[in-house]
Amino acid sequence: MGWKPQSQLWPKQTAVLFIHGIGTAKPGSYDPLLKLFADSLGPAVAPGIAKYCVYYDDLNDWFQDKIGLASQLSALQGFVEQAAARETDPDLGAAIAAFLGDVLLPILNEAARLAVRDRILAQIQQIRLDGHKSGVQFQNQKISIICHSMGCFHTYEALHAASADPALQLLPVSDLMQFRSVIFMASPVQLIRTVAQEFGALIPKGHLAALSDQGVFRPSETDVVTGNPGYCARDWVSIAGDLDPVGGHFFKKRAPWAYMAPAGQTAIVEDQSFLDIKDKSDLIGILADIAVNGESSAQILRNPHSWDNYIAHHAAEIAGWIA
Amino acid sequence: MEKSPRDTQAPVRLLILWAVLILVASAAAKEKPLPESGFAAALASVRAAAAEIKLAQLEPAVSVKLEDSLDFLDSADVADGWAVAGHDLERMSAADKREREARLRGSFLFVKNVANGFIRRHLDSARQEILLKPLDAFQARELESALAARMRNLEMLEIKYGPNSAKLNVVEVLVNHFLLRGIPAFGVDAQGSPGPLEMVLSYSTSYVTPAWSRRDGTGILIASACEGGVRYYFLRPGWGRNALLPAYMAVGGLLAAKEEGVLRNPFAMEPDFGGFLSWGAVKAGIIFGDDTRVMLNRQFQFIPYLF
Repeated sequence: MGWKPQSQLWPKQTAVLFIHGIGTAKPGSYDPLLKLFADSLGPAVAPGIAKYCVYYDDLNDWFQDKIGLASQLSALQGFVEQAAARETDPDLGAAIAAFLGDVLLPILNEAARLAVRDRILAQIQQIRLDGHKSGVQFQNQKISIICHSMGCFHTYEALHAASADPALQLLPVSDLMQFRSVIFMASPVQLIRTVAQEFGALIPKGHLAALSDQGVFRPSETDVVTGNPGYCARDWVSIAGDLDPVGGHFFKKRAPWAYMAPAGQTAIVEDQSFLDIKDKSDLIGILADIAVNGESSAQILRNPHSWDNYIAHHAAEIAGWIA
Repeated sequence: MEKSPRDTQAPVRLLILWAVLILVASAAAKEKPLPESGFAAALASVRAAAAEIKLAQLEPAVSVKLEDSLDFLDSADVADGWAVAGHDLERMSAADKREREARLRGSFLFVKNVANGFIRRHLDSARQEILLKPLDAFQARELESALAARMRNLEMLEIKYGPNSAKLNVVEVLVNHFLLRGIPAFGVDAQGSPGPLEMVLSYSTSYVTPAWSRRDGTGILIASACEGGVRYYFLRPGWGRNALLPAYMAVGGLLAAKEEGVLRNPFAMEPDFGGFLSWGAVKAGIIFGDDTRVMLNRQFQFIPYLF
C-alpha cells in the first residue's frame, strides 16, 4: 500500500483539509494553493491552522488503466452537451461538455469512487487522531474541509458515509465529528446526480449518496434525547462563480439541474466580471483552450473555475467559517 | 508557671488539622476514584457525567435507558479496544455472536450519543475535559481501529484494481463492471469491500510452447487462444506486491487455434481444447489432443482494452 494519510501535530485547535478536483495532481501539487490560502488569511490566523491535502489522481489512473471508460464517459459528456446547449447555445454547450472532461468519471465505477471516498475518510480519521495527539480533545477540535470541483462530489459522498456508518467513528453526535465548516467551491454534485439519473442502468448506484431519493441534502445524525438532527457540518457553504459551468452556471444563468442547493446551505454566487469575459464566444474560447491545454493554457488566468481565485476572493469569509 | 500564648494555640491547631484530615478522608471515601482508561473507565465516566448534570431529573426516561445500557455493557466483558469477544462469546454460534455484538455496539452507540450530545451540552468545556476524559481516550482508540480498517480496505481495493491487477478488455469490463457488479463476490459488498472474483474472457495472442516440453524435440510453437475462466484476487495484507505473492491467480478453459502463430483465429477451423492456470501474470496452459502440449504465456494486453 503506497498511500498513507498525511499526519502532523496541530499548532492550535483548527485543521483544514483540502480536497482537489480532477487533474493530474500528485503530493505537493497543491502546495502553492496552500501558500495562497495562508497568505490570504494572513499571519494572525494562518500559522494556527494545521493544513492537510488529500491527493487521489493515482486512484483514477488505476481504474483508467484497468478498465478504460472513455466510451461511456463520452456518452455522458454528450448528454451534458445537449442539456447545456438548451440552457445557452450549442457552441457553449459543446465547450462546457469538453471542459467538464473527467468530472463525470467517478459515477461510472463504484469501486473507483469508493477508493477515493475511503482515502478521504482515512485522512479525516488521521486528522482527528493528530488533533487528539496534539492535546485537543475531540469536542474542542475545529476541523473544516475546503473542496473544489470533483473533490466536492467525493467530499459529499464521504460526508454521507461518515454520518451513516458507525464503524467509521465519524458520526456527528455520537463521535463529535461535526465539521466546523465544509466549503464547496464549484460543486458538480447536482450535475452528477442529474447525469446519473439520466443514464439509468449504465450507472452503478450502490453506495452513491448523490442519487438518494431524498435528493441532495446535508447528512446528519439524530440526537436521541432531543430528536433533532446533528448535522455533519456547522456551516455547509457553497461558492460558485456565475461563469463557472461546473458549479451549475451557464454564462450567468443558473441551471437548477446542475446547481447544488441542499436545504440549509449558505450559498454564495460570485460575480466573475473581474475575469473580463465579454460574451459567450469569449467564454467558449477560454473553456475550449483550457480543456485542451490545461494548466499551460494561455487563458488560465481567466479560468472561471479557478480554485485559487475562489480561495483568494473569499479569504475573509473562510477565516470566519473555519474559526 | 504561666503558659505562653504559643503553648495554648498548639492544641487548637492540632484539632483543626485533625478535623481537616477527617473531612478529606470522608470525601475521598464517598467519591470512588474512577478508573483512568479502557472501556470500563469510559462507561464509568459517562455515569459520573450523567450524575453531575442530574440526567435522572432532566430526562428520566433517557436516564433509565442509559443506566440499562451501561449495566448491559458493564456485564458484557468487552475487551479494551472494542474487541467484542468476551469469554461467553467464544462459546456462541456465529449467528448468536453477531447478534450479541450488534446489540453491544448498538448499546454503546446509544451511550455515546447521549454522552457526547445531551450530557456535554450541560457541562462546560473544562468539566467535559475532566469528567469525560476516559470516554474521549476510548474513542481515540476506536478511531485508531477504524483508521486501520479503512487502510485495510484501501489495500484490498489496490490489490483488485491497482497497478498490479489484471487489465481488462472491453468484454471483461462489460461483464464484470456492468453485468456482474451486483454480485458482491464480483463487485463491492454493502460495506464497500471488494469481492475477490473477476471473470476472464480474453483472447491471448501468443502462448508459447517451449522446445523442451515437446516429445518430438522440435522448436518453439506459438499459439493464439481464447480464454474463459475465473480470476481470484488474494485480498490479504501483503499480497499483490511481487511475483511470489501476486495480486491474483486465474483458472479456466482454453480454445487454441490449430494454426501456429500470433493473432490466429481459434474459430477459423476446429480449435484445440485445454485449460490454463495463472499465478499472477505468469500463465501456463495445456492443450489436449493428439499432440498434447504445455504452453506458457504472460498476462499482458497486446492492444489496450482489446486483447
